[in-house]
Amino acid sequence: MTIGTKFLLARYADCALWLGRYMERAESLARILDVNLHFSRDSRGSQNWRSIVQLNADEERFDKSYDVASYANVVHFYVLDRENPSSIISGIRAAKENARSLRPMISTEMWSHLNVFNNTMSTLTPDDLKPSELSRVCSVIKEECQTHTGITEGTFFRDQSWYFYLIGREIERADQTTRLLDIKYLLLLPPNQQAGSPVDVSQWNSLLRSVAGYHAYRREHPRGMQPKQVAAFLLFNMSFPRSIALCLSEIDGHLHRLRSGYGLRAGSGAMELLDETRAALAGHTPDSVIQYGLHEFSDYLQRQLIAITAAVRQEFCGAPSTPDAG
Amino acid sequence: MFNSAYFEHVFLAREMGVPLVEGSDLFVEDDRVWMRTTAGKAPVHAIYRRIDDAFLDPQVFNPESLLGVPGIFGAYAKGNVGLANAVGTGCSDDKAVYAYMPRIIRYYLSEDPILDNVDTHICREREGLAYTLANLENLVVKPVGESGGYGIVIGPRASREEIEDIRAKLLADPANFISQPMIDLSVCPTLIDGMIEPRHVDLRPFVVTGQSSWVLPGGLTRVALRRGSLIVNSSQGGGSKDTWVLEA
Repeated sequence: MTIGTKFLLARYADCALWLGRYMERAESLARILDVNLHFSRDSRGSQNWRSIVQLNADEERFDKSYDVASYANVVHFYVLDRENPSSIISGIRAAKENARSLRPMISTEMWSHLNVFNNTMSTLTPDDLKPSELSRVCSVIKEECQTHTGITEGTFFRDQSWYFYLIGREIERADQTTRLLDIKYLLLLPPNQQAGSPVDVSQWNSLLRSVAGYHAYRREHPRGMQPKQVAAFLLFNMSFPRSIALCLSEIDGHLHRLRSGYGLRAGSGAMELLDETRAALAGHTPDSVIQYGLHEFSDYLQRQLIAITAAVRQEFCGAPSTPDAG
Repeated sequence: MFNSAYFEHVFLAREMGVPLVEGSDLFVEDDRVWMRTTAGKAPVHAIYRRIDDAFLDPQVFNPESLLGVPGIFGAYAKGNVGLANAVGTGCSDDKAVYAYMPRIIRYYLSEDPILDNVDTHICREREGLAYTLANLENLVVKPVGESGGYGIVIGPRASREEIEDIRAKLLADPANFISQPMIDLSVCPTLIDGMIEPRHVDLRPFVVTGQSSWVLPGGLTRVALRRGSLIVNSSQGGGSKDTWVLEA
């Protein structure tokens, strides 16, 4: 083993983690915007753009720059607003900056693609975000993110940085699913009704489509659409790539590989937090988690994910121990 | 990462298979240099450094340096880390050394140089200064310690103010300057905004000299991308071109 493969600079590990996170976040956001445009209505039948702001816990930042949560404002805020660090354009830019630091590690194909993607984003104008155009733009963004994923899978050298990249991606995936569950579940459940009462099936379809999970859900549940089952699917299913259980299991696998394959001794704190979280998840059934409160449980999961991220970054990368929600 | 030569740093690191580190990736403990890795600290024994002496160690040189590694000079002085290029080698980059090369060759080898220098006037010497001051309009004046094409005044292309400005600088600190006739660099067809236009180029060969001399079958062709400009340095927007060796 040469020095080039034996050691990974702590800074590179951190950049790889954030590259994975930012790309996953951009893809997720594009999907949510697209689905909201086509399928989402709240329980009163109106399109609710505010819910996306709530989903990302961006109310404060949004309200500072925009007066109403109109279609145009929310879409601009999340696609083109460079002032908004959680917009797609900012996310892709941040991904590119991390990739720039990682240039000695990543393939030329990855770097070129991210550059072109970043430039494509810069050419978008508010005109491209008209309701008639948004779906096309979201498709482009999703496909570019997926192209990135494919190029990375096919060309990224499988050293430690690969596992940090995957950990970042899985953390973001899990985080996005908890947010979606948290906000949409409350929003879609008709007021003052118990779970299990008749619901607007299309709303639940749209929730599943936001995570590319509608057809996956149908394979498990060919008939019917029960809110409780949807929630359970997103939490516990071990075959669905965006379920919490599968994401946590993947993170666990990657941490194990880092520790056993590369002899890294760091990461015990992150492993402990992860075990704790997985045990909490395993201790729930679809019924018990609803009883416990889906909002409370999502909140717990989000806090755990933040703590896991902080632990990984601190233990492996020497980052300051203050949690960073990203 | 924000250095205009970042591309080159990356290229070299990849070709050599070594980590590309920044100052903050390294630290010094007990006069030894360590690298921050995911496995904790890893010892570092040799560094190909790409920053100037002055920025190397804020404890010894420029205290404002954020690029450097505090304490690295102590580790170097104790022989615990090798630095390439060694501290101080920058003096061979000094343009006054270039000017003295013919005399150095004659003094040490009692031989005449095979390749002539560009006529160079050393302004720290009285005749050199007098000649330079008398012919400013026809000469290129270069500060000896700069790199990247900074501080150069090209007499034939300079305004009256620029000439007077450099005259004052020469009189204030003659030793800081050399002067040379303007070399009209050759031009090469260059793609500019979709059109082919002439741009000035120079060629830098690479030669390794020991018992014998070896010339790399290739070289660095630099191109000044601004119309008429003779400044080919990449830090001032110069580019590079492919160098074709037809027979080696």
